Amino acid sequence: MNLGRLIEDVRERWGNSPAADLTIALAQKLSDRGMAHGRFLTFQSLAAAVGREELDAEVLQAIVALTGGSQPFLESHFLFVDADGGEVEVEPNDIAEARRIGYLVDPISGESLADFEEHIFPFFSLSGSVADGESH
Amino acid sequence: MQGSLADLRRRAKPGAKVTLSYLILRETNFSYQEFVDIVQEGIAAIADEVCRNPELAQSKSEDELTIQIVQALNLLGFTAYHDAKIGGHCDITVEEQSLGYLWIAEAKLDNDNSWLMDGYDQLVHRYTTGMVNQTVGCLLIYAKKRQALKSLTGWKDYLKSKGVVSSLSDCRSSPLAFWTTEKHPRSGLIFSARHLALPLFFSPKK
Repeated sequence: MNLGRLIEDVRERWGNSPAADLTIALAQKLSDRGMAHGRFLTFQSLAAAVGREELDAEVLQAIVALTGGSQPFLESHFLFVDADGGEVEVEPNDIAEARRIGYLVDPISGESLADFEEHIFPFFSLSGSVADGESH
Repeated sequence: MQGSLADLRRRAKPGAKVTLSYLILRETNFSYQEFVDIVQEGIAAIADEVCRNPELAQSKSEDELTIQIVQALNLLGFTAYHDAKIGGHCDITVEEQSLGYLWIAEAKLDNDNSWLMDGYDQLVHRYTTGMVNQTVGCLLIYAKKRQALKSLTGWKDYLKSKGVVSSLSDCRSSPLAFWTTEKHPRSGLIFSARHLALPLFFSPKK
C-alpha cells in the first residue's frame, strides 16, 4: 500500500488519536531505507523504532493496522525455537490448531508440547512492495 | 523465554491480550465462531474499562457510550463502525471484510423492558441479515437505572413471558449475560443473540 493512502486510511479510521499518530510514525519508519531491508523485525524492535521501550497496547494496535488489509505493510511470521536453540518457522495455522487442541507437535523432535507458546517467537518482515521502496 | 508468545501474553494488559490474539488469529483460516469469540473478548475487555468508572458514564447518552465502545473496538484492532447502514443504522458493526464475517450489536439504556424489546427487534428483524457467517449479534444493555443483574433478570423474564425466542440459556463466560436463539426472519437460519449488561449504575451512599 502507498504510504499516503495508508495515512488517509488510518486518519479516517482513528482520527487524530495517539494510536493513529503512532501507526503513521511506524509506517514512515518502515518506509525509510534504513529499515526497509529488515527481514526479522520483532515486537521489541518495532516498539523501539517509534521510541517505545516496551511493547504496549498502542504499538500492538499499530502493528495490527500495518499487518491488515489486502496490501499490508508488514507480514507476520512465527519462529519455533526448541530448548537446544534449534529454529524452524511455523505456520500461523499450526499455532491456531495447537491452541484449539492444547498442544503443538514439536517440528524438530516430533514431541507434543503443551507449553508451545514458550517456544513461539513472532516476528515480522516488510511486505514486498515496502521493501522494494514502492510505498512512497 | 523473553519475546516468546507466552511472555508477550504474560506482560500484556487485558485489551492488549485481545489485540495480540487477534493479530495471530487473522493470519489463519479462522472460523466465524472464532471471529465472534474474539470480538466478544474485545467487548469484555472494553466493558471492564468502561465499568471501572461508572460515574463518568452518568452524563453520557446512549449514543455517546456506544461511540466510546466503537472507538475502543477500533483501537483493539477491529474494523468497527457506528451507525453503519445495514437495513438501517446499526449501533455497532464489526466486520472481517475479506471473510464476509459480520457481528452487529444494538445498544440500549435499561429504561424499561419495552425499550429493550425495541432494541432486540431492531437487532434481529432489521439490522442483521441472518446470512451464513452473520448469525450472531448482541444486545448491549447499559444498566444505569438499576443494578445490572436486576435489569438483566427482569429483561430475561420479560422475554420468557413474551415467548418471542426459541431458546434461552445462561452465558458460560459471564453471569451478566445470557443467550437467546430464534429462527432469523429473513434467512430462516438460527440467529443467536447475546444479551450483555454493563454495570453502569452509580449511586454512592456518600
